[in-house]
Amino acid sequence: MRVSTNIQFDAGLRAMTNQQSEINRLSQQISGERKVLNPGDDPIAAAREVTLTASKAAYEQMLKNQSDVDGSLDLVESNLDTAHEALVQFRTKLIALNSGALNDADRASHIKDMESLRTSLMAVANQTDSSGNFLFSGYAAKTQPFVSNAAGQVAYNGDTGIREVQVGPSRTIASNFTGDYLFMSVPTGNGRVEGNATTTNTGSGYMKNVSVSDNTAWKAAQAAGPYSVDFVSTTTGTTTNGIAVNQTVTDPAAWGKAAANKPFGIEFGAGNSYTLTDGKGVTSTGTYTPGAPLTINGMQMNFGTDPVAGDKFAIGDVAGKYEVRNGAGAVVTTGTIDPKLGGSVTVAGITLDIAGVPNAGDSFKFKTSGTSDIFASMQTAIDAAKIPAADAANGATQRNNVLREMMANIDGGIDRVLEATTTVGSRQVELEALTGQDTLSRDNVSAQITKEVGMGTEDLVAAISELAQRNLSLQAAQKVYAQVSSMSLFNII
Amino acid sequence: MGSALSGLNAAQASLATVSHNIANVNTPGYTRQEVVQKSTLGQYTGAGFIGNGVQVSLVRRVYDEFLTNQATRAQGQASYYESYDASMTQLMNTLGDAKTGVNVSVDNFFKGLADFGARIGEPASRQTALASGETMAARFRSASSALDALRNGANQQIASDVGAINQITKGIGELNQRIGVAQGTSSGNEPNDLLDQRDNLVRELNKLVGVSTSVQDGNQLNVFLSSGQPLVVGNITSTLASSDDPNSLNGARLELVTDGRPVVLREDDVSGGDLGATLSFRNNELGNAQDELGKIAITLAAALNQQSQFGLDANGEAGKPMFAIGPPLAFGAKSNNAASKMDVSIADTRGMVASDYSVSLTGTDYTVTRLSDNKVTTVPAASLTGGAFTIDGLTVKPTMVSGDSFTINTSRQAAAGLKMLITDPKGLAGAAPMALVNGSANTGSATVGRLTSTGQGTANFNNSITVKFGVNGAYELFDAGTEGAPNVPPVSVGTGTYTAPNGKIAHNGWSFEVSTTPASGDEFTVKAGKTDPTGDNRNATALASLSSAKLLGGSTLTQSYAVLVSDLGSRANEIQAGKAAYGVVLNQAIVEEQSAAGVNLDEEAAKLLRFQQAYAASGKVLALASSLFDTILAAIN
Repeated sequence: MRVSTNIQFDAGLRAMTNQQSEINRLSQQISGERKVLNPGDDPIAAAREVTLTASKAAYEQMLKNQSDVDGSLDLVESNLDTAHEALVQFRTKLIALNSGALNDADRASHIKDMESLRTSLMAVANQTDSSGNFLFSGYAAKTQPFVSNAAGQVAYNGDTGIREVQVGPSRTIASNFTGDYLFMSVPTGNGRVEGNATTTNTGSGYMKNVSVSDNTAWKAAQAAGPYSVDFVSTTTGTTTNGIAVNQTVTDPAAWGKAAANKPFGIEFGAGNSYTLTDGKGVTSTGTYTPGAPLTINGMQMNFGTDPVAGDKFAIGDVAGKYEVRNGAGAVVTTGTIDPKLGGSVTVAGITLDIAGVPNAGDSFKFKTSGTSDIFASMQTAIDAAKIPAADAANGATQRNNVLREMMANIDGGIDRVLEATTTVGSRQVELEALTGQDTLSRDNVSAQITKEVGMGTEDLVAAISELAQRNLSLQAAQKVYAQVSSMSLFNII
Repeated sequence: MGSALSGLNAAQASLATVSHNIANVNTPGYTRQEVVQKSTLGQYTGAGFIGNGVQVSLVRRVYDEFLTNQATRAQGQASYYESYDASMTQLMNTLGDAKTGVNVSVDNFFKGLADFGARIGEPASRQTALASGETMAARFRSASSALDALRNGANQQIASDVGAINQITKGIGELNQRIGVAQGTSSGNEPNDLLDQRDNLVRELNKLVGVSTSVQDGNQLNVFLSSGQPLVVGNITSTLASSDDPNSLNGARLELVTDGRPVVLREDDVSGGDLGATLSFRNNELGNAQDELGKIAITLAAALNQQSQFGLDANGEAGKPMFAIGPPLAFGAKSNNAASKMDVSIADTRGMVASDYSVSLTGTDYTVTRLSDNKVTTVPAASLTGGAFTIDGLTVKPTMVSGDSFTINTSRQAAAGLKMLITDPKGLAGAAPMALVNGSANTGSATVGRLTSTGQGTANFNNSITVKFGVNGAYELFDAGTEGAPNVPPVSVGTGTYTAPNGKIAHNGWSFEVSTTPASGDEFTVKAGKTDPTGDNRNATALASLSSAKLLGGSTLTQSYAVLVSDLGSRANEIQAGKAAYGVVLNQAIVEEQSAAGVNLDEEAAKLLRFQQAYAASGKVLALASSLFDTILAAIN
């Protein structure tokens, strides 16, 4: 074919330009490690890159959130550990106070420790993170959650907000616990039933254990609570001359106070007068109103017929007799326990083990577990421990009973803290799994991006070899151009 | 001697033509010429005809009309694709790739929101979320303004193409005239170089716009646009002009002015060449890209404002809208009454849908068609308040007569006006106004998602509502009233049936998702009561989770952007393929054309030698004749 000179030059030029542009493309691909330089090169890959990049960003964000939550939970956990330690030590103190005879001075040193443990628990509860946000105040991050008032009562000023952090496309994990949950709504008793000794009890009886023995019965009966197990003195005796006397404690406090001076004896004299002799031989006198009950030291006596001069009998109680009343005050059941060995009372699906010797007028209550404030429980225990040995009649009893009850509450507090720690653990386990999984997914997505638009090892090798080949072709084209341009007939003629 | 002289003359003419060829070797559009010579009729003698030398019959172009036309047509196509490809490359570079595009700023914004949700108590995370929102809005604006700049560039390109086309058509008209005159005065001989010039002008014209030609009266070339509109007829030329187009958002339209009478050209009338490519790029690719970007902006603003206005900010106040977008635009149909107009404004971003609308008035009813899903809404003219009606968050104030129609474009300017409205980090609504609580005695395995907001207007945060499920997913809503005025017992405020899976239950402007059909007796309560916003991250995580919500036509925002990239990429790819294919076609056509018409210097050199020798030979003949003559004279003497 006839070829015009310009075409010859153009063809040579085009060959060089083409090679140069290919070389340029290859070197861009190699240096940028990208196959797809322009979305037009491979629109599908370019679009996939946009979505893959977004999904990579999402994985990265989830990984970041996971590590954030993990960090928050670490902080929470270390504080929970401190709280746990404080509560366990407090419990040890309670055991020490409960066991054996301690004098006031021994107790005082324990009390000091208990007070400082309570303060340190407060400090934990008011802990902040690095940004000054309170850990345990719910959503109210800037509000100090626990504040003591003048009376020593602790108020919770936070709320019950739980921060859920997105850690997966459809998974959130809570990053906090509220102080309300941890410290202010600790279940009392064993979580289902709680028992209390009445503070005015005078006997040495105490509740060794309160437990649910019949689930169905308790479920049905708990609404009618609180129940009280009242130890009563319903002595039905006779006077020396045969008048029936029915004795009931109507003022347990007074009866308890007088307990130290038992036993009492009474003898009626002329003109409805009587003489009372206590266990120490002290006598006192009084006047009896015929037809009415007579109450001495909280013990009420009803006579079948009015006593006459010379009638005498001992005032006392029949140990171990009890009545169980429900919340409405109706007697549900009655019974007796061994006054020396104690025994168990089973009613409404609940079994109460009572040890020691309850006095008549003593009463034990039980009801559905409620919640209590751990700081109040600690304070109650501290206050109880402060009751001096030399207190009036029921001081020691009251102290021991309160300490025992508070022990149950502190146990509840320890359980609550452990529960939270376990929750933290299981959340962290899940986070770890998610992090592993998301790291893998992110790496997969990165690999996919590389596959779509990047240069894998093979691509790189292919590109470099193509570059070498193109270089060669360019040199060839240049040679050809030089040759062609030097070949002209005009050079010869 | 006469014969020798004619040989000399012929060789000289050939040498002149060769030197003309050599001189014009680099002239664009030049067709090599050659001398056509024939022997002069001999002188009759008794012995027959004695040769009388040679005569130059004509100088002709070595021209193959078919090949030249083919090359010219290929030139039009190649220019079209080349120009289109350059524009597409610019467009793709403007929008950027996966590392530099708008999607990166969207990803970063949602990252900022996710951080905000995860670290609600840290002021830095609030600040970062806000800043990343501002950065994203700025990225949208800059992308949109870069597209505007491309449109300006395209418009300038169109104007300069129009100017160049007018120059060329004028030139062709003049050449037609000169060729007519030259051919008339040279007794029909073709003025080769004028013809070359005209052919070359046609090819230049084809670079600018696709044209077809026809020859009239043997030498007059008529030029038409590909649709048949005449640009040049003989020496009469029409001019192209551009004028504002009130019926389109794409910018100036083209008119063809003949004898001062303008005819509006449709887009299809102009095809091929740089002008065809630029027009098509401006009206289709650029418009689509900007509309798609706008749609993403609208959807983003609508969804985020929705959730933001549902939440509570750091001061416990109701959340404010996060984003504002650019205004919607309305343009009328060509057939509209001249006085008709339409004002459109945004009433509430939350209600907006990323779609265009057409509004027409027939009789006394406005018919509004949402073009994304062809949902038709009829608005009786009588129901207008203050002359306006509201649709999908837009306030439309038409001034129309029956038969008029308008198109509302919500997206063209949307991205250009995307702006963060919240400037105080405390204004970010991270807290939720209500809580979603599972019934404590629930027995089913259904779980509930997060509380989100629906609809426009202020949601009712104050009434606690309990959803109680019966059998087979039937449920009833009970309103427990407000804190100050409780309903005892709660009042039934509606019933419904759950559709599995992930059915939504909505009331009072909020809604939540339920995973599976709840067991009979299960309850979920949407509980009123503000919380302390300093540590409440519920609305922040709801905002962040919009990143994976299928907001726009079943796609997430990033996916929508990916669709835009892939659409543009496919177009670019198509164009690139066209460019490569037509580049080859053009190249081939030119090689073929040039194989006939192009100057080959070696060939000319050879011819030079040949004609030089012929000249020398004729000279020798002349010398011989002269010496013969001398011999005779000498003999006579």
